[in-house]
Amino acid sequence: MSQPAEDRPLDLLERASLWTSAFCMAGMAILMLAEILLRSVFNSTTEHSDELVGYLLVGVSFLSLALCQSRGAFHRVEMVQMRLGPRGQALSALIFNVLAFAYIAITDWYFLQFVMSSYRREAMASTVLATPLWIPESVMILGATMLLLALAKSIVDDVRKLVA
Amino acid sequence: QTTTWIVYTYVPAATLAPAKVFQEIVERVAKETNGGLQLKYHLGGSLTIKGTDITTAVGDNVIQIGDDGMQQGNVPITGILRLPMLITNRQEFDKALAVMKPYVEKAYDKRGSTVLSTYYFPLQIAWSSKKLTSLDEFKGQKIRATSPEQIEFLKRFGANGLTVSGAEVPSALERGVVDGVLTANAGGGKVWKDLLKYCYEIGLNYFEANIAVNKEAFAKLPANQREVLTKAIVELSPKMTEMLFAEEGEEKAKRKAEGMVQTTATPEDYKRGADRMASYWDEWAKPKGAETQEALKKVREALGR
Amino acid sequence: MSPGLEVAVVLVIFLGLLAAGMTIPFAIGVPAIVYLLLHGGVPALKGIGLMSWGSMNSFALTAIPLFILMAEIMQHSGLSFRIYRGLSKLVCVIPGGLLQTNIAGCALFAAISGSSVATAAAIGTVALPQLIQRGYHRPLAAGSLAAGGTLGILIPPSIAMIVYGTFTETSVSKLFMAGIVPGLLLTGLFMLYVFVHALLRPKIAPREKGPQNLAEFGQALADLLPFAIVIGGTMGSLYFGFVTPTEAAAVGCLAAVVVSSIWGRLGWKEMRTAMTSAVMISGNILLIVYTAFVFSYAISVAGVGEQLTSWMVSLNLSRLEFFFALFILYTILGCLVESLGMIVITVPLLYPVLLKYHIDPVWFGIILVLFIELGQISPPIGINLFVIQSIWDGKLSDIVWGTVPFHLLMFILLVMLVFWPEIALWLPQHMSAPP
Ligand code: NA
Ligand code: NA
Repeated sequence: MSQPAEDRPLDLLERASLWTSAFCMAGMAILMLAEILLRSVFNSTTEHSDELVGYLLVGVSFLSLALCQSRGAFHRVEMVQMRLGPRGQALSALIFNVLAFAYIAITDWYFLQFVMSSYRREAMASTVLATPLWIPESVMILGATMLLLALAKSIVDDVRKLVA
Repeated sequence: QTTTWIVYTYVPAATLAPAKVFQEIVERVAKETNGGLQLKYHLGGSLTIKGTDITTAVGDNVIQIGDDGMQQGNVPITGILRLPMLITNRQEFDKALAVMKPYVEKAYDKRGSTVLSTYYFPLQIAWSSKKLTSLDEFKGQKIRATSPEQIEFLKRFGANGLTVSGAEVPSALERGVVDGVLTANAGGGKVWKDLLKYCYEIGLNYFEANIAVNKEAFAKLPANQREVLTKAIVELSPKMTEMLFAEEGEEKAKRKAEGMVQTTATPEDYKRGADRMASYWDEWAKPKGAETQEALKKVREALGR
Repeated sequence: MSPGLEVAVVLVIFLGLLAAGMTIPFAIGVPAIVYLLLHGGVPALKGIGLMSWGSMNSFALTAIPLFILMAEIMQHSGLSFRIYRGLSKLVCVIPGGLLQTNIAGCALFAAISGSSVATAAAIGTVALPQLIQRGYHRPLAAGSLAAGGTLGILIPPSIAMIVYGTFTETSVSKLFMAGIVPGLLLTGLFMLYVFVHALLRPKIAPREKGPQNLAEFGQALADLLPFAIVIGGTMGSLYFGFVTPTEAAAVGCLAAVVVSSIWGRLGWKEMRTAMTSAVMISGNILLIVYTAFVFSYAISVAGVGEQLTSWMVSLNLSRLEFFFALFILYTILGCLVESLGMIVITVPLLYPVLLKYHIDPVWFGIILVLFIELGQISPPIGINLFVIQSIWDGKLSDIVWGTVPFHLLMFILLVMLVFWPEIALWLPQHMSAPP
């Protein structure tokens, strides 16, 4: 698992997924460390670190998914799969990817509704920053959409394998 | 035919007064509508919807009734009722609430819901594990606060106002990441009492919550059910406030018996606090628009502060 | 459809998808959506946006990716290899060898992390590849890590205890203290089991070669030094009041970077590989956590847990029968619901009953934490099983089998706690601050 499943270089979608989520992860650590330093050495505070860190976690959670899907990082139970022939495996992969696509598409649609509602209602964080919430919430749409693209790519590959 | 409504609250414990009274509301509504309207009450956290998102959840009809106490981000104008040192006793709060009522109702209406009632918690006071018996002793202490307004108060008295999530408060207090908290006897006071030694009873602000229903769903209810529901909430919710205040007295006495060092703030302390904060009240209202400024002006006039 | 039938249908779908080989997070997410549709129709889906935001915009969850990043940095800078080289020399005399250090490592890590998932992920990421490479018994290696990880919520700090304390207004510091002895006891039981198992079947753990001379012994100790600094530094920052348990994860990352730069090979390339790995493991685990939240949301909206609990409350059982019923209830729930969901759903209903049976809330908190731990390693939805599964290349069934003995040990501790509540209560009673 520590090694990418394939050796081919990262494509554009994978790179976007990796860099955005790595940015979020590093940002989380740096913000927290800044808060700790300010608080314990300078008796001060960043005032927004825990708010931003929460947003960044949403970023890591959703932006990383396209990379995970594309590189086969999501795990499965192999019990039945091992007993299937190559055609059976390709067919089941196709069915699962279509189901996953449908699931994420539904989720993404409701993310969109949610963010639009936030935007219309001018929902803000009740913090010093008063962040308009639709901005960090949109990250969920971005992540889910990238995952949809990765799933679409997988589906195309599955169909190719079946036809070949 | 039965209508089932989801009720969701920011209140995390079934033992807290709002949760207890809501059980009565649930039972009364079921009984008086002959089971036609069933309310399903969910405690804070159980639906993994944030307390701060309840206004949105009601407006979007994800839940039909919200017990909404963390609405300030969604309904900023309600923040007036929580400006530190602006409102210092119950008479003042009731006056201010009456002034604010049309503004709050309008703001909720704009977001798709109707406010049926408002109840409130006792004054949030200051607690610490270090000596805290006067305004001057705030200096240098690390105090956990729950709103930017409280942080500003602490800043103006030389303390460091920190935001620590509710779940981390116990470990933060235990390890000295923070020295103290701002909360009521009937709220955090009884949960975190073991980790605190001093209670400086300077009331920063009350904490009010609005019971709101989704406008469309409410309109769709048969008239008799709507009436039963409204009556139950309007008649029973004042009991939440009364129970919370009664409990505040009881809990305070318990803390005293347990050896908590309680210091009552003098009228001079309140005067000093209000003087120090007055400029902030206006600064606070300015970016929030003309309506908020107007409402604040009216509240200050009503209170003569 | 009746609520019972709905749950049954959804479970069959879930098990079917999982067994047929659908990737784990999607196999949890798809039936959750089906459940919402079955129970509330299309309008029930409206809450997805709010609940997703509410569950993932969470300060407490940040500990998971950060502890994984910390482990990956140590892994890719070569420190983990050195740690295990040193450890293997030092533990050679103890039957079970490095399997013992899995458990001790988890217990140690539990003292800085409040989460089972973070504990299993961090120690698992470092340990599992090394153990597999050295030829340890695979199910036992994986099982001991999945089970050891659950110590994360029994040994303080503990997110589960904090949530329970908030719900019941029980003193969290008392709960923390009450967790210490059972936590150490469970650690001891786990180690004892590995000890006995290794004595009876020596081939589960390869014979490690011990230090041949004093110089080698010194070298082995030196190999452990970086790890000791990372753990010690993180623990120190926590216990001396510089950080909260969540922030400890960030300190751990910093310590790992510093120590790896000094003793390991940490350049731009290693940092990038570590980050890529951490992103992929975190994305995987967080998606499982997220879909488990969706599943819990569906169960909560439908009110299944409440129905089950209130039915149980209505039975008017004797004290012992009540304990037995609790065991059944939490075993069922533990299979289905994400860990914190178990507290949120059941505690508000059960709590008043506890008082009726004169049950100490602190003691019950510890019992509940143990049930949650059991739930975290019980299939079909056992979050720690999935965490370990996302770290290695083996079979899920191997992990499940590997955890079976640990289930039994947790059960033994449960029984001990029922008969000797002092195991949990002695410390908080004798260490509570004078009034
Ligand atoms: Na822990
Ligand atoms: Na489980």
